[in-house]
Amino acid sequence: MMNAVHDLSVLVARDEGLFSNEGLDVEVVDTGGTARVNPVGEALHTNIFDRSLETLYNDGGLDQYRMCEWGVMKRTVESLHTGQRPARIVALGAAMTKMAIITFPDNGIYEPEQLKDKPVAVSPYNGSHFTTLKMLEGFIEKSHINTVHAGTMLERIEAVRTGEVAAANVMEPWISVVEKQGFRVLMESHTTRAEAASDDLDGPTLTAMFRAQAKAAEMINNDPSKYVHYFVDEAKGLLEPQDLKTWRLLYGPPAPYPRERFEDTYRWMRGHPDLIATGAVYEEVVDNRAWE
Amino acid sequence: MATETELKKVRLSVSNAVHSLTVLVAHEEGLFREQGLDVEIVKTAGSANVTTPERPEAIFDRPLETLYNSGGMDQFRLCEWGVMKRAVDGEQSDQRPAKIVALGAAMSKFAIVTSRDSNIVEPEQLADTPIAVTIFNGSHFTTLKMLEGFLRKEEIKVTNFGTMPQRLEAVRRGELAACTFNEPWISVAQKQGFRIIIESHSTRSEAAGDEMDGPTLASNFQAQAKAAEMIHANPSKYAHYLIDETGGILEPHELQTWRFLYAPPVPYTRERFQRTYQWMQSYPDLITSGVTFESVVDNRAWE
Repeated sequence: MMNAVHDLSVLVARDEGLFSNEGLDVEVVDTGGTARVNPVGEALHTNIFDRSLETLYNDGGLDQYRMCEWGVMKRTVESLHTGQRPARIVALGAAMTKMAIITFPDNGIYEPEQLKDKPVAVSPYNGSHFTTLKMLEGFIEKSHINTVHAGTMLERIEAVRTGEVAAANVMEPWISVVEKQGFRVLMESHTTRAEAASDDLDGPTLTAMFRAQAKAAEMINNDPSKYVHYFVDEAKGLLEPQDLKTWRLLYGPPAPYPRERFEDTYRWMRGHPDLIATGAVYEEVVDNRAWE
Repeated sequence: MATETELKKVRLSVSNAVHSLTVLVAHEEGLFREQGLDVEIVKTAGSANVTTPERPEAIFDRPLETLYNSGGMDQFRLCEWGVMKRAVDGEQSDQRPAKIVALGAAMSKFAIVTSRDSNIVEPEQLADTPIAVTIFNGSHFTTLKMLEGFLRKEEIKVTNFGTMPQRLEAVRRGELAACTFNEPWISVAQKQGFRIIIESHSTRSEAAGDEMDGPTLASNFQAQAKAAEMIHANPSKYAHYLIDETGGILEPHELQTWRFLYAPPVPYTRERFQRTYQWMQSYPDLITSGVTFESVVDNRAWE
């Protein structure tokens, strides 16, 4: 578990007893996500496989994880021939997290086009990075989108406030925090997660886990305010429960990762320089055994 | 301040309030008069108003364009790409000439919305799915821009469909999977539990005929710049313009004024023209090719 917004269906499934109902005794293993830790430490190590979550996975400290769809694609593809512990994409995930590009009024940025060649702070090779590229592609030529590393969500917000960077990409609870503080939300979009697992986790176990998450997704969508406390905890005193914009929360049942989606996503990632290694094929990267 | 007899008479069009709020506020607050202008607001039927009937698909047959062509007003604003299309296509089809005279004040948010019951939860699922827009207006162009990173161009499908309230009802009934619109209808959708899949600020341009001189445009833009400041200082004061468009569906406190963003009008640069025109030409049938910056843009307000 890195950041609450991406993992909320797991947290709710655990705390509401939904995993137990499916016959699973789930231990949630905390790793430092950029929405939760300060300073950033190893959560954003330059080498993705030296980061907190990836190191723990490589060492066998956890069986399964989820990140943005593109982050999981990068890690599963690049683990193939680099001596990492193998992982495959086992589902399109539950969290349709809103990611937002935010600016500060003093920076004079009013519209996406003005971000041409301007530094936008992200977590390299994580959701904020990939979704910044996706959201800006229609407004700015690829070669003029300039993403930079400026630490955790809180650190990059401060970098925007001081003018060190022009903009930053953040997710909840930090979108609500910056809205409260008068920042501009330039654009925002729902975005997708994928679920990754090693071959050690069998299909029926994944199926049970995804059923529990699907039930949790329904519960969150029906009464998001019940689960606000996970986000308020991450915001470290900067957000009152009523300030969290729960209308941005959206969760769906995990679903198989089809060949067409793999091809579209892998093609898009190869359309940017140095975003992902080439040469991978669907059969070695994706395994929909939860639905077989 | 100029006396009544010295004020210069100008007719400015207003269609949807969110795009022309600086004009409405400058008029209400006397900012045009401070600049020596006697502004008449000429309202045309915009797609955000519940009272607007369906409008023709051909752009030069629409209310705003017909009024401009017949000399019923001097200056108008639309989305940046809509003005580009009208300036370029108008030049080549015997319409009353209009040039881009500024990048405008309103950075209107546009949002792609689906129903709460929809299976669509992310932009990628909109591949090959018709999204309801006003063709060749802001909702059309920003739909393309917002989705380009998520879908291949040929997978983005739009369909011309009615007014914003009509689109919302069609999505509610399941006749349409998604639609795009601006405030106040984003707030209406949010209030009614629709999903906002993606949203973005987007830009307007100001267009005018050669009859309107540079100093008059400069005064107009100075008044709008001051209005932009006043809107940011107290957006709720001006919510009524948008609430009126909903015909009682939205209460003033339900309008999400945090989405309001206005800026001083600025010159429309050569680089911007080239990038925007190049982008529009990358889609089939979006705009006529072959025009130049000099024939379409005139930054005389700053000369």
